[in-house]
Parts: sequence; C-alpha cells; structure tokens
Amino acid sequence: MNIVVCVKHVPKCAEAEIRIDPTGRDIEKHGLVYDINEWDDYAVEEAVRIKEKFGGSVTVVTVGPEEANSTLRKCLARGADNAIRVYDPKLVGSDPYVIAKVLYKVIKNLQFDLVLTGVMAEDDGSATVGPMLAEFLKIPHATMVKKIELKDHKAAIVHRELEGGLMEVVEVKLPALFAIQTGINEPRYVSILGIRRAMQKEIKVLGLKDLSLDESEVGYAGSWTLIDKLFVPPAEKVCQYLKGSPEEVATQILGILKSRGLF
Amino acid sequence: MDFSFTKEQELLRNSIEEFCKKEVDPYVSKWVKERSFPRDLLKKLSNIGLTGMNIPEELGGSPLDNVSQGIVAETLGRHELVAPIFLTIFGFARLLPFIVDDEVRGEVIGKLLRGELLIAGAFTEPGCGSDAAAITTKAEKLGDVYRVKGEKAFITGAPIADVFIASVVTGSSDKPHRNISLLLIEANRRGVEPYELESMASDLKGEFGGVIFDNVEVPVGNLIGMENLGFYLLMEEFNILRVLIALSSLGLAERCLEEAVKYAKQRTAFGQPISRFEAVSFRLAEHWTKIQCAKLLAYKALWLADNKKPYMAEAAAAKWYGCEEAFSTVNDVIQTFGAVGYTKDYPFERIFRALRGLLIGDGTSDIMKLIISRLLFGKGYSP
Ligand SMILES: Cc1cc2nc3c(=O)[nH]c(=O)nc-3n(C[C@H](O)[C@H](O)[C@H](O)COP(=O)(O)OP(=O)(O)OC[C@H]3O[C@@H](n4cnc5c(N)ncnc54)[C@H](O)[C@@H]3O)c2cc1C
Repeated sequence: MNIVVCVKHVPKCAEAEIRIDPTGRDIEKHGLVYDINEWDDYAVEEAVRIKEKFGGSVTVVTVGPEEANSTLRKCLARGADNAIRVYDPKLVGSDPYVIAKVLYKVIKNLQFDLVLTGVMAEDDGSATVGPMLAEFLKIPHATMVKKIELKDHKAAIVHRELEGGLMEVVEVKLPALFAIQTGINEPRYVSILGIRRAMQKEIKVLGLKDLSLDESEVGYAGSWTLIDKLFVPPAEKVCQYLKGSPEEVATQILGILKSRGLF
Repeated sequence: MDFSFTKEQELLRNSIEEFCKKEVDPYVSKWVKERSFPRDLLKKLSNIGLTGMNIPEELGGSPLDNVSQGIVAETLGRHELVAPIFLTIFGFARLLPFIVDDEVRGEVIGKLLRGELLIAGAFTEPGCGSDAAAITTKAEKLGDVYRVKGEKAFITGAPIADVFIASVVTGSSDKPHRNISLLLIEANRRGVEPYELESMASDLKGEFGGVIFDNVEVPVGNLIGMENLGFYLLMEEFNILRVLIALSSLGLAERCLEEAVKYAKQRTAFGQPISRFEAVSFRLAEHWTKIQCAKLLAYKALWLADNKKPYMAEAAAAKWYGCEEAFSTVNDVIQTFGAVGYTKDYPFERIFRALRGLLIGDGTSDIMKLIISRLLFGKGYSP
C-alpha cells in the first residue's frame, strides 16, 4: 500500500488570542504557534498504521513556506518515509481550489493506492481540499472517515461519521481518497529515535516550474474564491433557564452539550 | 554567536510538550489528591526513548547531548515531572553504563530502557550532606561480595526505588574523597530496609525517605566505576544534573508566570485589570527577565559541557540562581493571584513547596557559591 497524506502547517488558534490583521482578510499571524493541522495528525497516524500492517510507503505532501518543514519533519518522525513541500511566493492567497490543484500536480506523478487528508483544516475550516483533489485525480472519495478496513488492494470498507452519532459504512474502490476524522486512532508520540530518523531524511522541495504551473494559475490570480472580510462577531450573551426536576434538568443539559458537540 | 536551537531540538521540545499535555497535565492533580506515584509514567517516557537519554547507543539507548537534555528537562519541568522519575532519567541513569559486571549492567539498563527501573541515589546520611565525603556507610570486601552497613537519609524515592546507587566507604587512605565507591544495591536484597519520610513536598506516596543497609551483601560486579574513585564520578554527574534541575524548575516557574500574566489581565480591582498596577506588572516583568538570564546561563553551562570545556562555575551558578529565581517567581505568582493562589484549587502552593526543596537538594545554594568562590578566588583565598 503506497499512501500519500496531505498535511497542512497551521497556526494553533484554539488557545491563542486572535486579532484581525490590517487587511481585514486574515488574522494577525505574528506570535502564533504553528503545528500540524489536528485532523492531518490522525491521517498520518492512520497511514503509518496501514503501512506497518501491509507494507508500502507513506509520503507526506504540504503546500507551504519553509517553516512548514517542521510539520513535515514531525510526520517523518512518526513514521512517514518521504516528504514533499511545494512552495512559491506566488502561492500566497491561494484558495482551496488552487491548493487542491497544486496537490494534484504533485500526486499524479506518485504511485499511490490511497490518498489521505484531514476532514478539514483548523485555520480556514473549508473542508473542500480533499474532495476537490479526488475530483482532480479522478478517484472516488469518502469524507468524515472514522475507520478504514482494507479488503485487499482493490477496495476498502470505510465507516463515515455522520451528524447525530450515525455511522455509515461504504465500500470504496481503490485507489481512493479518504478525508480522515479526528479520533480514528490515537496518534503516537514522537520518540527520540523517530526524531533522529526524521533528521536523516530529506524534504523534497518543488516549485511552480517543477509542476508545470503558471503564476496565473495560483495565488490570488488563480483562485475561484476570495476572502472579502474576516471579523470577530460581537459576543452575545444568552441566558437560558432550565425548568423541571433535577433529573429532567440533567437530561436537558446533556442534550444541550450533545447538540453543541461538547459531549 | 548563535542562540538558536537546532531543528532537531525544536522538534524535540514540541514533541515532549505534546506528550506532557496528554499524559501528564490531565493527571497531576489526581496523583496528588490520591498520593499515588505515577509509575506508569516512567513506562510511557520509556516508549518515547527518554529513559535511554543517558545510555549509549551500543547499550541500546537513544543518547541526547546535554543541551537537548536541557530542553527535555525544561519541558518536563513545565509539567511538574515528579522528582524520583526526574532524577532517575536525567541523573542516576548516567552512572549505569559504568557498572563493572557485564551481565548486571545489561540487565539493569534493559529494565531502565523498558521503563521498569526507578533509581534512588543514596549519598546523604543522617550525619552528613554537603560534606559528602564524610559518609560512614561502609562496604567491606569479603571475597566476591561487599558487605554494606549504614544508613542513608533524605533520599528522593527511597521507599519506591527498585535499585539504589549508594556512596560507600571502601578505602582507608587519609583523604576521605579517595575512599569512596559507588555501588548498585537492588532494593530486594536482604537487609535493605527503606523507610518513608514526610517532607514539606512529599505529596506522592514514597517520594521521600531513607534506607538502612543492614549488612547487605552485594556482588563485587555491582561496583560502579573504579573502587575508591566513586566520589569523582559522582561529582561529575552532579555537575550536569544540577543544571538540568535548574532548567526544570525554571520551566515550571515560567509556566506559572504565564498563568499569572493571564490572570492579571483578567482580574480587576479598583476598576481596572490588576496588570495596570505597576506593582503587579513590574514584579512579573522582573521575574521574566531573571528567568531568561538564568535559562541562558543554564544552557551555556550545558553547551560548554557538550563542547568539552570547563563548566563547573556556570553549572553551580545556574543551580543556585536558577532554583532561587524559580522559587521566588512562584512566590510572587501566588502574590499575584491573591488568596485564590494560596488555595489547593491552584497548583501554585504545591509548586512553591516543591521548589523550596531544590535550594537544598543536590547541593545547597551555599555550596554552589562555595564552588564558584573556589574557582573565583583560588586556593588560599576562598572559604
Ligand atoms: C528535596 C530534597 C531531595 C533530596 N534528594 C536527595 C537524594 O535523592 N539523594 C541524596 O543523597 N540526598 C538527597 N537530598 C539531601 C541533600 O543532598 C542534602 O540535604 C544537601 O546536600 C545538604 O545536606 P544537609 O541537609 O546534610 O545539610 P548540611 O550539609 O548539614 O548543611 C546545613 C546548612 O549549612 C550550610 N553549609 C554546610 N556546609 C557549608 C559550607 N562549607 N559553606 C557554607 N555553608 C555550608 C548548608 O548550605 C546548609 O544551609 C535531598 C534533599 C532535599 C531537600
């Protein structure tokens, strides 16, 4: 099984104070800590587990500046075999469509049975790169994947996590692309030996020319969508009183927590 | 001059931080509440190679240079790594490769690498601490065994240790330093009697205590290094351990400081965030500055050691200044939080107690100044 995993180097916003930058279209990145996108972490782990079971190799691909190497190195330390980074200053401003196209240009030249992505990226939450990439590659895809069972090298049974705790089981022909949901596995910790191994591997860097892409096809120029405005909505305080016996109130609280995805 | 860490070291810091956020942070207060010592943490640390940091590759370890170990110590320190595990992996593990008998060495190191070995360093005695060469625990050589008799006190992890590395008197020259050897003494040998001591910071069961060696017979192959030269081996290992202890307490103090900064921005008094009172913000700004100074000093000491240059004065300075500053920071962090910082709902009171011990353990601040003075003034002019 040769597996390609698409990973993104993202600012960790959950614990940080977020400010909008002067363009009004992006967040202030200065001072933010960057790391691998949480969903991608699970995708890499899943790929490494499949490789450990069936053999083959894991190649991680990212589109991003030099700093994104740290995310690739982390993947190598966790057991990925190869790493590829695509970058050109002209890529700044690329929307998910462009990113999917760039990834397609890289991956079409690789041998693969499976392509894994995260369901979405923590920073822009668009959740579209995976499906678009599958379309470019003309292979089937499944999103929200919470379990992968490989029947043979020809097909996979995947469990998709739907809203409200529903699970859908689908059989997908290979090669295919799966967008991985968090919780599919327990990503391993990076070990000292893993780090040592990672440092001995090279990160292959590709530019637009290597992918036969023209400047006009990428960045703002090549994008189909453009962020118009980014803002922090004013905080609204809503106070909801629950009525009933303690048991009833407890049930209602549980319902609220579940509906907000907090439980 | 280049102050940057390597990419490898950055990945190391990031990975340890991630490990601690998942494997330590959620459990610390539970361990303390239940007084249960987290032995399984040792196992988990071994899975990522940290019990092998001080073991050469040919013995199965995953060695790290001293600066990298500083990064690990600072990061684990940020997350309150418990003292017995800290001392085992950063300190006493360094001595295991010097065990004389091949088989014993292989077996003990194997256990360490699997996360099954907690080591206590038994040097201090009821009658002497700073004057570490004045010990009275004797090891008499009888054929192929040493018979060990004496008592060690104030030992981190004594009641729960699997093995002790003990300093014992084996020689009879007129120079006490030249009479001391280090012995590996398994806790399950007959006559080994560990006991518990309650200290101001022994929050976990078995964290602190002593041990009586009542005519314990130990094979001569359990000798560590050369007979009668144990004191020097020990001092060398303490030099590095000291710096790592300083970095771990500074890591912890810095994390507390970060919490205090957040709190001071949220807490209001007299109509404004308390951070707007200079008394509050200057105090934290001063600690931030001193922590940075201390960390630079500590990393410099480790860098000197890695580059085979003398580092003893820097190590001693990093230990006293770093540990005193860490303690003082947490004291002011509690002040910043006010009464709530003094309660057990917050970790600061426990950290305050733990950091207090580090002004004594592993060489008191006075002894550190003694070391610096001797190097500064030379023989005949120093205390
Ligand atoms: C938290 C903690 C953990 C410890 N863990 C261990 C352990 O794992 N293994 C172990 O063997 N020991 C351990 N110890 C013991 C520790 O190493 C000793 O307490 C320390 O070396 C000091 O010795 P002492 O307590 O006998 O004090 P003393 O040596 O009696 O000193 C008493 C006072 O006199 C001062 N003093 C002594 N000599 C001089 C001098 N020449 N110049 C100036 N001042 C001097 C000291 O600074 C101190 O203030 C631990 C102690 C603590 C607090």
